[in-house]
Amino acid sequence: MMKKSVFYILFPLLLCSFTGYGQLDSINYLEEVVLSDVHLFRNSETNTVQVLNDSVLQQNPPALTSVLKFNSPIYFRENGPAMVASASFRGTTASQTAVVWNGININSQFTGQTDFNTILTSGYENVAIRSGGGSVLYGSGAIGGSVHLNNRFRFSKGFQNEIRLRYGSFDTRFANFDSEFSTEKLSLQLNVARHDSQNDFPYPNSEKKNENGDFSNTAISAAAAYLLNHSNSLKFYTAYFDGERGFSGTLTAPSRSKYEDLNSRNLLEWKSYLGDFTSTLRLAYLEERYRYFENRNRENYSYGRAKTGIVKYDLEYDLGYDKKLFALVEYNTTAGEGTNISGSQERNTSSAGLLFTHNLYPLKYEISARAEFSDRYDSPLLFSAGTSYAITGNYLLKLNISSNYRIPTFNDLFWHNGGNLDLQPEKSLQAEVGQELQISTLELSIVGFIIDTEDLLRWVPSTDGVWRPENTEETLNYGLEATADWNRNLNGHIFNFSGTYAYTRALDQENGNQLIFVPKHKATASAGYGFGNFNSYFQMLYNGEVFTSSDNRYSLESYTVANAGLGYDLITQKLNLELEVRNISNASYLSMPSKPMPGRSFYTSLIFKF
Amino acid sequence: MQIRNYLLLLFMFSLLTSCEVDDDNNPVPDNSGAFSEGILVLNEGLWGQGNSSVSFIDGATGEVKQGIYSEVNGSDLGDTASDIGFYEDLAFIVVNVSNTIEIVDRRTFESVATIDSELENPRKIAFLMGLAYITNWGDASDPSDDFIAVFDARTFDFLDKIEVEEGPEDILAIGEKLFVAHQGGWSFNDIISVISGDEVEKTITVGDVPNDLSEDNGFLWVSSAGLPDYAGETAGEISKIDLSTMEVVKTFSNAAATWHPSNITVENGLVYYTLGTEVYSFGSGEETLPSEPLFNMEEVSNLYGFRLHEGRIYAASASADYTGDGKLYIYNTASGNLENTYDTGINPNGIFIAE
Repeated sequence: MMKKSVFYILFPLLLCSFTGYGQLDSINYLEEVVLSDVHLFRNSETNTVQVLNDSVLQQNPPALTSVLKFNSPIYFRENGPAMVASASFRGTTASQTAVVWNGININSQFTGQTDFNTILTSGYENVAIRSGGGSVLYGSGAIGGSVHLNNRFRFSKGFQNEIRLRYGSFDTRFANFDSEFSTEKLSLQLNVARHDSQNDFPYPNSEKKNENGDFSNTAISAAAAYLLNHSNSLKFYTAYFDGERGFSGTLTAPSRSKYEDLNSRNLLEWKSYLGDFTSTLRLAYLEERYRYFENRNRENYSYGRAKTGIVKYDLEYDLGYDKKLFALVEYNTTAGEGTNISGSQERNTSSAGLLFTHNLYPLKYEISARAEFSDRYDSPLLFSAGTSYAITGNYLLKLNISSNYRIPTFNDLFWHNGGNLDLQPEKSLQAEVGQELQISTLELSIVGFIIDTEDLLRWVPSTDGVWRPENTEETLNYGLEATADWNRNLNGHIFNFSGTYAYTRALDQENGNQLIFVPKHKATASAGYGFGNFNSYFQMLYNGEVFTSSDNRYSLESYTVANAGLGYDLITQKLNLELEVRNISNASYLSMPSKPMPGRSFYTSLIFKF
Repeated sequence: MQIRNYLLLLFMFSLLTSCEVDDDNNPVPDNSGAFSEGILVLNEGLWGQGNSSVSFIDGATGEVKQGIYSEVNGSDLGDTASDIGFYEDLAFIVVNVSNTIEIVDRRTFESVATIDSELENPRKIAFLMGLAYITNWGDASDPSDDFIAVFDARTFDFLDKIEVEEGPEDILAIGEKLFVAHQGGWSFNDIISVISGDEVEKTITVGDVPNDLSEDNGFLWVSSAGLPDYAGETAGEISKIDLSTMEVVKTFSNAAATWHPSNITVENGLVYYTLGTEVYSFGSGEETLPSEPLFNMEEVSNLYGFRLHEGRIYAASASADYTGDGKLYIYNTASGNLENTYDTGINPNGIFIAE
């Protein structure tokens, strides 16, 4: 996408999410028009928000998993490249990270999770990672944190297009078309992406190769914004994903299964400014479908399908320049059916919340609460309170306490063989203390957190051998996250560096064991250098040992993987050539038991802009 | 065992959660030849993770050796091993998800051969007159492609495929016939197939979900679990079949739909079965079931494998969430006293006496 213009819009925002003060009001109007998820920056100032922009997204195409794996503290459990991938944020479970699309929570109604390999980043302007609890704002599952997929509008930029073609190892092909048109009042975006691969990489140190791992998917997204007049705007977003993949075999077992995903999301937003009030009405319709073929050569399959309608209303009231009050009301209805769901099921929830922010520079605080009403379970009253204090202009302290929840999924409630209607939501209470320091162009952040979760939903075998979800375990997570960002321009030589480190303990309170698939240590680092028409990057990931059994007797070894890329503008700002090497050292590692990951691989991209 | 439910669950979980791996932390067994007398425990590991293993408990010293197959052969056993059968000097290890049978020398565990074709979801094995018979579910979601694969037990050549009804699980050779209990695979079934030569000569209807077979003195005893609650719970049955007429001559059941017997075994004129972790027994000629258990295997949390042999009950228990190592508990059948406890690998589903 169009890097520079993004930067102009994004940069002040970043600055503002970093320091939390200053130009906020002056960019209000712009911010609210260009971005739907205003709370992400506006009401998350006592949390940490890390924004991965366009250039970072392009270093790790095309799916979201790779971007986050190499650039954030989030750990991913991947069943192989392009296979199902789930996140563990701050040591929480896969359904305790909310994925938020333009302000709407899109985690699956069946699993409560998002498969990060079914989201292509090419359709988004940026991906933001908000650490810590966010259930007041984003609802169920925002316990470890949330991952935000944002579209952003530009105006008065005319017609701009970009085509990206990528080809590489294992017959991997990616094509992406981006188009944007904007006038003073209207902004239109279109993105079409196609990704496919044989994905038949040889297993390192083995005679075998990755069988039945082929995949192909298509993602289409479009967005439109129209400024009706100075106080009203309309926005519409739509995104569609159609993917088909074989579930690959393992070192010890063949596979011939296949999985199809078909997801669509639509959002309409009407925003009005009425004196001291800002009113936002959102209507969303989400649909998710899957089909699982145990044997892809046969017609038999199991399926699931869920449709969700959401009405969301936000009213913001400016109580003077330093105080703001927000009221949120949301109604959510979901209908689901499927092979493994008993009958056709429905769930309705409504919720109401209040947020108050007060800016007493250098002190700022936020208080919020949310109540939810459901026809299926008793929801806890949620709250969040946070404060930030600028000790100096460059040094900020943050404190945040919140309670968060995760509701049972359709599978938990209605699975034909074991679904349990008596489940309660998982509840967590958490606190974090953060410090942010800016020294010239170096930005450092370090956050300590603690999360106490109860009523964790787990599928456990009952006496008759049937597995059922129950509110069982209590877990205690604590740890710290550190990030560093630095950039420098020396006479046109542009250098940048960023790094993240996460130390995570996630303990079963009953026996003190580390939860499975939570690495104690995870670190990422990336460095870039550019000059004139040339640019390059190097990135690496260290993933610590993860236990695979709750008795902590079995584990997957730690690993380090590094990637690098070179880019050259053959025609400045018009035609660009990029080369990538992934897993440079040909490291042999497993992301899951018996599932080796690929060794060294190569990719070439051509990017046309017109 | 609970494999059907387990597979369903695991399918769902494999979509996003998961479980585990193989490890290198097991104690190193000493050199080969040492597995001729003791207890072999088959650990299925976790579906999709390729961490099946065999534990050996030395009959003389009580020493436990974990992962003997991979230790001896330097390769993984495979994914979700489901049975071991013995024929002459050989042990045949059926590996369900890998679709293989690993054939080893039963005393050294050195690999002799691998059968990796003509199998589809193999489950259990039995031998009759020099042939190996393996029950196969076929495609688990297809009710009509289930079969018994027949191999030469000495040359390992594939000989025949006998089509059977859905969900063949336990298989037992008696005389010149094979008896197959159809649990039903991913669904439910309620028959015993009687196979003679390469033909199903008869099917005998028993209770729903027949899970174990035991022969005694001219009779075949069958425990059937009944339907689980999500399928409209029904009580199980214990059936006594006269092998001379192939007719059910006696059926025992219980009024409570939650009554789900399994692990039927007849030894010294006594019929044993389990309900949960409780062990029951009655004389093979009696007309009614006992109302009180013989004893409760208190230490067992998730009964996953069971064998009754010469006055002892070997009960394998999986770890609480099925991701870690299990335990083997040995009880004295008469007294109910716990005699020994050993560590096993992950999800021990079968116990075999090496002698």
